[in-house]
Amino acid sequence: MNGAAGERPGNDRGRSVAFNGVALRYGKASPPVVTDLSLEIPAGEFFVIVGPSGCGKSTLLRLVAGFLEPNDGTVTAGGAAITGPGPDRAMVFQSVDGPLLDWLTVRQNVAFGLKLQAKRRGGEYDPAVVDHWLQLVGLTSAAGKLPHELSGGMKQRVQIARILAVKPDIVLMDEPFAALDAQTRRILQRQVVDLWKTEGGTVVYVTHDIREAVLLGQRIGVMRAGPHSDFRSLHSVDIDYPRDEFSPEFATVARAVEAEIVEEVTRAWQN
Amino acid sequence: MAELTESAASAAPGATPEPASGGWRAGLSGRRGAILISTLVVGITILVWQVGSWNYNPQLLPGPAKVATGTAELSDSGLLWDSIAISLERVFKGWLLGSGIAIPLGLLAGVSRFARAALDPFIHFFRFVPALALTSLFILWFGIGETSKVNLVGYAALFVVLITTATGASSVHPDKVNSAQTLGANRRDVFLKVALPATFPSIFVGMRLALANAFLVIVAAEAIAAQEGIGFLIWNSRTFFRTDFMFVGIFCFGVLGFTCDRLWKLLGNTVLRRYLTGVGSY
Repeated sequence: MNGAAGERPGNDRGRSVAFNGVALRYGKASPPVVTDLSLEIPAGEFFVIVGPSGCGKSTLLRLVAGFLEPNDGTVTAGGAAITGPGPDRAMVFQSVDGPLLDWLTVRQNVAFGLKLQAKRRGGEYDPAVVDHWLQLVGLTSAAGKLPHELSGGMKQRVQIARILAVKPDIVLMDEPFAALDAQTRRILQRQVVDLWKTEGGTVVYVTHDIREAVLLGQRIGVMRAGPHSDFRSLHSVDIDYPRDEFSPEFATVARAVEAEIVEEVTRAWQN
Repeated sequence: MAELTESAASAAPGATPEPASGGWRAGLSGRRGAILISTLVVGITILVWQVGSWNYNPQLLPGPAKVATGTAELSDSGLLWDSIAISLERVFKGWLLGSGIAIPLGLLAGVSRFARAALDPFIHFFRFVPALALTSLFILWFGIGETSKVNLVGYAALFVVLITTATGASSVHPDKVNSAQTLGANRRDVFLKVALPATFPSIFVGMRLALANAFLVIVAAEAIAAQEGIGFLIWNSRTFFRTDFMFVGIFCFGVLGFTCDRLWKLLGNTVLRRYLTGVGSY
């Protein structure tokens, strides 16, 4: 049971993410969602954030993505301060219908980021990269379809393919499979682990689902109920991939995480 | 798009599920049934109109036969076709003028809070000022020629397109924008490659509504200081008590409006189809 946390699978591309004493509030009148939050995610790690609703899980991703700026403290990627969004920190969204460009085919959607990058460099993008990604997520035969012709699971695969195609150092995933049915979710979870192993990169993954958290994460960060949230505890999951969710080790971690979340939710209700 | 696809699918031969037997109800289901019903109802209406007209003075209510003779008369003299041509020209010029001004302004108001604050008072003031109220003013300002008529139609088209465009541009899904940014899109890319195409459905619907407005206003524009056009034909027929010509003019508007609307929809179903996946088909 050599910990997956010890062996960083095939990864020289990832960059570390660090939160140092971060506070963030939405609007002057409201209390800060997170206060004095600090966390270090080493390069190449698969880090999962769990916590009660409204605790600021997505807020942390948005800070790393550069959509938000902290009111206090710093957020850094690879040691450098984050200034605005960029393809080095690409994000997969929960929304199935929002992010894709409805008027572009699956192939054009996957090529979208690559084209932008190529334009910056003043060159042409390589269509073979698009083919490669379409194949990896099993959408080669759907390449010519428009998003509205796809199922929810297929749309999320398009999202993942077009994000990973630009080779981000840090992949941010905000409950990407929450809107999908259980079977599809199960398959895509496995696929995400496989892709992370082969492609590398740091993954920061937000979820409500404890089973998903233990299935995917090398480390799991449990957040306190908001406002004034921060990390309550960090769990290392030293179980080899692919993980067997019926094993005793799996259950031990899941139970521990679950107990903490239940405690936080109960506390939030009492406040 | 679901609906757009559906109508395309049912237009294909054999796509409509029609049971071999199932009574008259089954025969009336699907697209063919709908066309049958429409034709039948129109036919009955014309019949009732013809029979009814026998009871009235033709100068008050000309029957279909009389209107048909009137149409032939106007067609032979060339007046009908000249009127249609000039009215259509005014409608299209005004419609395009109004849309051409409205679309950039609407996009601006949709994406920029500053532009929105600056434009909002004017939008919400003028959209309640009917084009008809401006007819005389426009003649004073722009003369009795084509300019005043085109401008009046343009005015009527402008606010509809402006409001729908601004609404569309301001309601682009935030994940669409964020997701593009995360893939490396800068402000320019976001506007041109995300916000603009995502606003096409709103622009399309706005221009469709504006087209109907343009037809409404052309009658008023041609009522005053015009010497040609369908609107003029209708107003002028009054002087000669040619009620049948009025009917011809009214039919022209109906048929032209309907045709233009269908052509616009056809454009949406073909060239612009991939941009209009959210637009219904009615």
